[in-house]
Amino acid sequence: MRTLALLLAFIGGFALGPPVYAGDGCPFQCADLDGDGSIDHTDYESFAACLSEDPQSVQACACADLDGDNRIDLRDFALFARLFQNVSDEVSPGCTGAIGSTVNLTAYRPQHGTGYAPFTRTPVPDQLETDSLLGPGIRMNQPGDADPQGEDDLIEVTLDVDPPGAALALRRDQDTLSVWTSRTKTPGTEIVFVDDKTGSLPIGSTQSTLTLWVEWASAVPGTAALTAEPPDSPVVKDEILFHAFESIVVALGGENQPTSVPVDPNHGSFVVGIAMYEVGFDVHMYDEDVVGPDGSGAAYDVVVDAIVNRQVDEVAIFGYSHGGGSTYDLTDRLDINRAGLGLFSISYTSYVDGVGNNSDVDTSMETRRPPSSAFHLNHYQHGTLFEDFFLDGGPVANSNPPPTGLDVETTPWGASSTHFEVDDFIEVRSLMESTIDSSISR
Amino acid sequence: MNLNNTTHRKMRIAWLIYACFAVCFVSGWAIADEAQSKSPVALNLEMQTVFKELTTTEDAAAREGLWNQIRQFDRADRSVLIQQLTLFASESTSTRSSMLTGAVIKQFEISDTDVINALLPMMDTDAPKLRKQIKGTLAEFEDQSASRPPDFSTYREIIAAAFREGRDIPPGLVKHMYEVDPGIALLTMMRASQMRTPDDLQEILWAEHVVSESVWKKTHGFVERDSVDQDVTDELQRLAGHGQWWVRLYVPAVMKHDPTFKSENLLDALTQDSNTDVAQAARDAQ
Repeated sequence: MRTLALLLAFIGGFALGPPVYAGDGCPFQCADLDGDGSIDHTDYESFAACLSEDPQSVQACACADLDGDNRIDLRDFALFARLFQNVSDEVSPGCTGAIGSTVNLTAYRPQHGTGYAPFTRTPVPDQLETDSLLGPGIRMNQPGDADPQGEDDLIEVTLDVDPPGAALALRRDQDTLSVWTSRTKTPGTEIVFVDDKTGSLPIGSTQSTLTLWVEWASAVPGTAALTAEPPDSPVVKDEILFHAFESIVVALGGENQPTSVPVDPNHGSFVVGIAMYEVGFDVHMYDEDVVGPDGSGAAYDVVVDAIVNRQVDEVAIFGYSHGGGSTYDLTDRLDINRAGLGLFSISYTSYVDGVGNNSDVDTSMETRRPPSSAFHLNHYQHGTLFEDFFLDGGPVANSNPPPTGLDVETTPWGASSTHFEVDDFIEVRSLMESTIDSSISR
Repeated sequence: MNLNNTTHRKMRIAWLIYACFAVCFVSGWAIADEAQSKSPVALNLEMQTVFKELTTTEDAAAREGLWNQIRQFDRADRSVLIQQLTLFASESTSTRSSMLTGAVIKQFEISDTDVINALLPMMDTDAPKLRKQIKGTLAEFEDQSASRPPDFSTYREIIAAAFREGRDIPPGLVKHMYEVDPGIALLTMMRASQMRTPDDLQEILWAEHVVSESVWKKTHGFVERDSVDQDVTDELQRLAGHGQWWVRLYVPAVMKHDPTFKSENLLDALTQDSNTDVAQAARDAQ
């Protein structure tokens, strides 16, 4: 795709003239025509303008003759395409065509338990991997962390290298990051940093991919970068910026809405949960049954572990139907037990047609506002016996949209809706996603 | 509604029932496979068919007729209806089918006692889904929240009657109470058992108080979350040797509920208990 985009732009590039500056030979790395340390669109524009030019007579095009044959043609373009968006410090200034290694680091979204379920293994897109909000999030992992689901706080990072077996190292910008070759920190699998840089990574001579596991081994939140470099050079080939989670998001389905991979598109809570997971939040999704009538259970344990052991201080909880009732129960328990947990805020809660969840046969409206929630979003409709067994949520005081939430049956898109479809409206899900994003930090 | 419409609707419902019967028999019906083999209550295929149709049909008129059929089931035998609804819900795969039991209870204003008594014969089932469904249904009558312990008063009356009349205590109900809240279960059993001697009562009251206070201190941050008070260890040791099985049952139950109290030695000893429920609870807690 990258090559195609370059090729299209390449055709149009003939119209431009060559850049004008003078010197002897290529003064920078090959393909880095402006010498700024990276091979990017600016270089491409210059490269396109140099096509068919004589690199010996047009000095500014000296760095565009990548194979050193004194012509700037499609062979040079092919080499340029491989180097685009990377920096290769191993291209000789003489531009012989022997390009060095290229590296792509890919970080994944957080694990849950022994794998990724109820999420799929989700790579962070290249364009987001250095974004401090939307990029890869990571849970703080300290000795006291109870890990109710087992060790799952390390972030998977794959390192793809071309050509296979190229020598590479990692650099971190602070010692909060540790790197392992095993997901559960098996003794002997930690990669040692000396002055924040590793030696050559264990990449076999024919190996093109190495899987690493990154740990945030500090109690201090913030961001930290991990870069791939040649062992003996400080040139950055690729970079990932991690943000340590300071919040946790809990999504609860309705009665008999178990989590699944892939997600059931009619399970609106989980569709929202996945959307937030993909933009850098630490999301945990559960069947509402994991929350007991007193708020106890697996969801509570995970939130408590995050607050007590991982410095998380913001909590978001939302649910549909009985999941709405469980949102109340879980919030209530967290609020009652604050003294033993530490300082945190329940920054966001939401009901979608919330039904009380004292039991599996509870059919009462959940109209109590979650205790101490800073922002509560409420959507509801009106049940009828034959359509949905009279199941419905209802107005909740001091909710959003003000004053008591949105009766979706007053909207053009939600008129005559039933309990069983209200969580699936794109309008409902979009408002949840935007309000979560604006209510809590990552 | 005219007679022709009514007749036509009844015929249509009857046809649907017959059709579903055929499908059920051909396919062996998953519910029959899963629940009937492990439940002391047999499936009533007529009722199951009506429930299934009601929760899947898109025909609003048919739903009304099916509701009327359920009303007739209720009038014929409320207990059987509740049991069949519970079997149905235990194998349900959608929000709609899961919520049918609650809708029927609400619509027909079925009392707590009626539901509990109907479920009692099913509570010793070893089918996990059915056990979960029964537990999830009983919670409705326990009125538990983060700030309120469960209310077992209805169970206490049932158990007290069994004690007074010298009948077997419903083991499934006792097990359920200890799973929900070991402390409240112990106190409920103490009252239901007709225990009258102050010293005997105080021994149990004090032990439960010591354990509960320790939980309270940990919950609210007065002591470390994983700390164990020596007084708690002593009281659990004492209760593990008590003469009443339902007092000994408290020990593995509370250790399962709060694993920081777990003592492998005590649990090992209780796996050899003369009461099979205590021994099993100890194995479950290990």
